[in-house]
Amino acid sequence: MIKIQHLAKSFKDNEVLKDINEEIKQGEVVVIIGPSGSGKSTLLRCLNLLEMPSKGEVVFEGTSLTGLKEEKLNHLREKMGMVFQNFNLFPHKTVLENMKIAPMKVKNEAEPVAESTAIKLLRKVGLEEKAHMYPNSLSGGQQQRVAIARALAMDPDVMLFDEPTSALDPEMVGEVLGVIQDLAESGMTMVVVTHEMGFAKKVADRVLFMDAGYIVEQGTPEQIFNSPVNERTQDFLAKVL
Amino acid sequence: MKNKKGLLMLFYILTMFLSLGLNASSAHAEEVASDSSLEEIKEKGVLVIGTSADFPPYEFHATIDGKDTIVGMDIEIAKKIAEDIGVELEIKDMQFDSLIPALETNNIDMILAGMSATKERQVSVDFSDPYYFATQNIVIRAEDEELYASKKDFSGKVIGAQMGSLQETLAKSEMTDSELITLGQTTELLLSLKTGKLDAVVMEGPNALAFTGNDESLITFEGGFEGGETDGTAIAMRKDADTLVTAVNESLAEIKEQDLIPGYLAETGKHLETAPAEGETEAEKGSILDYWSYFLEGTGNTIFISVVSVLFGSLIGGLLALIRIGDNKFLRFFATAYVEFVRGTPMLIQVMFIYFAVGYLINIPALLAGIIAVSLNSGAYVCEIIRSGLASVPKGQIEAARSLGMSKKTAMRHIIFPQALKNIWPALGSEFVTIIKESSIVSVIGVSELIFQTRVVTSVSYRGIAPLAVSMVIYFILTFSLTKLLNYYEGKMAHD
Repeated sequence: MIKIQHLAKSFKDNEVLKDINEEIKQGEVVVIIGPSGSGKSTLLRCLNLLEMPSKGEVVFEGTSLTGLKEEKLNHLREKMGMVFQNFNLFPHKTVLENMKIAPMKVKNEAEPVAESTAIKLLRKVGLEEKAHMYPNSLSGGQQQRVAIARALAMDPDVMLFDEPTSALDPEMVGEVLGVIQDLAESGMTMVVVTHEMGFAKKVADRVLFMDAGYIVEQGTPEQIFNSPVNERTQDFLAKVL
Repeated sequence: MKNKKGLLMLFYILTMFLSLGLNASSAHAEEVASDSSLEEIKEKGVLVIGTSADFPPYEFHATIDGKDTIVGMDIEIAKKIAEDIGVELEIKDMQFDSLIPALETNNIDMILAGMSATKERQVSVDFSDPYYFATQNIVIRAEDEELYASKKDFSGKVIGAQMGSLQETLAKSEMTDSELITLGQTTELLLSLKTGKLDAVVMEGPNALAFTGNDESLITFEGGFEGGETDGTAIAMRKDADTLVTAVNESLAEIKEQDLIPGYLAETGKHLETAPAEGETEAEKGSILDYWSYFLEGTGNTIFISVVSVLFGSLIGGLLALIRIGDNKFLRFFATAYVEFVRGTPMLIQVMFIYFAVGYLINIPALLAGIIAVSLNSGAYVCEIIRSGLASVPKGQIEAARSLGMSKKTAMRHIIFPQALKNIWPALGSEFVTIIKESSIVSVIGVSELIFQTRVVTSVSYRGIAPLAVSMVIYFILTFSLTKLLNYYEGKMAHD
């Protein structure tokens, strides 16, 4: 579904990603782990071109995203839902409005259609009763669940999660991970950057370990967590587990 | 009514000697003239004089009982002449340059416009005897009367003169031992004198007499300047209007005989905007609030200029901000250069530049020029307000919007701009407050906004501090209530 070829990204002189080659298949849940500054988030953000790659190519559903015209790119981005570390809900809109705006303005859905989809998704993440509240009156966990529902409202083919629980108080991590896990079980293609190793173990079909801009090692959760081959993977896991 | 009879007698005599052509310029009362000019005026019952009413104290506009009236020393003389002839007086106000053509085309009967009887003019018109030789005077405080008697007594003293005037030149060249301070306006000079910042002011005689005639705290004397000689001021009439010239000279002779000119000047001085109102002494002056109509007009203009400028400034600023965040490099450079230039130059100069430089190409009224300049200035600041408002929206917001498939435009419109507005609104409000205060700069090009009117009241009321206090209070009321109003709407906008 997503093919990454010779992807590299530099910020000025700082080379953050170096020659990444990877393929994410339909229905696959890929979890990316690794130390801070290893390029995990940058890789994820290159997938929907929030960051413009310096080199290489991202092919999504057979179309190369790099070098696409703005309009076409917008259209493909619709199909790649993204969830951010800081939720990034629109503070000037209610929960329901947050969920309706993109379907209505981007897909030109009629308001009743957008609304019933939104309500359905809110029910799914257990926040139906918060529909008319403003984001800032919700807890972090609730906001992140709304953000997930908002991304789902565009009916994406793939979901990208950028450290979705890093900004949460510990007691709220569970509720968000629960929602993501449900989503994984429903067969959604997902790429998740996370520091929650237990969660990675539970949901991942495949785990990528990144360090210093490279994918150093990859494999099933059992391979990576139980018998890592690379020394750096071993070091990292020894510290976090 | 002795004069009237005498003139009537003269009239009868004149009609009997129609064919004689005596030299008008040497006409005396007992000489007999030959034309019908005087008779014609008597027949129509009105003497039409032409003047250019922008030359106080000779002639200028004043508001008397709410009506715009032309007053001045020349007007007083014209009244006397009309009375002597026994007719009504009609005054036509026009450009100085148009006066002689108007006389030649019979639109007016004579010119009283502080006109010097130069040889060049004598080619096309006949002049009366000169009725006034302008002197160069020194004005001092009445209490200093014993200290000074001539220009030589001001060694080491601080003297003032109007910037760029003949008096400045005279003070510079003939009062070399004094410290000279030049100011733009006579009123400022007199105020400085009264408040002790100056010891003397060098002024043209008529002006000095007009001011001091109405202010007991000031006195004036002739300065004895060597370079102050001027051509005599005379009344111009059509060539060969000998009978009229004769009649006029008779009246002028009487004025001279009875020394009426100082009285005329004093009468005139009452209407000078700089003199205190009639009959009032320092102690009797009314409340400063009696001048409310001046403040009202000024406040109205200040509000008008501010509102219009903020509206257009916001439009300009919005456009510039769009360009600056846009993709067109050339336009972006232009907008950035504009903003930097406007923010890097004083508004005072911008206002003067628009008025004088642009006014050189197209004639625009001062108020319009002021509004244009303030709008253009405000536009640059509003642009930066909008830009920083947009920049204050966290980057995650645009990323979230884009990742939902929104185009840059849709994201700006529905996500970024509504949030930025909450930051833009208060800053725009304080820009409005700034404009209310800064728009006072347009007073330099003569727009009668609050500061300008404050100065007028300062001159009219002869008080320095009270008008400033009133104006300060008005500014504060304007800006404070505006701030409160904006806070109210801001509060309504905040919902999170």
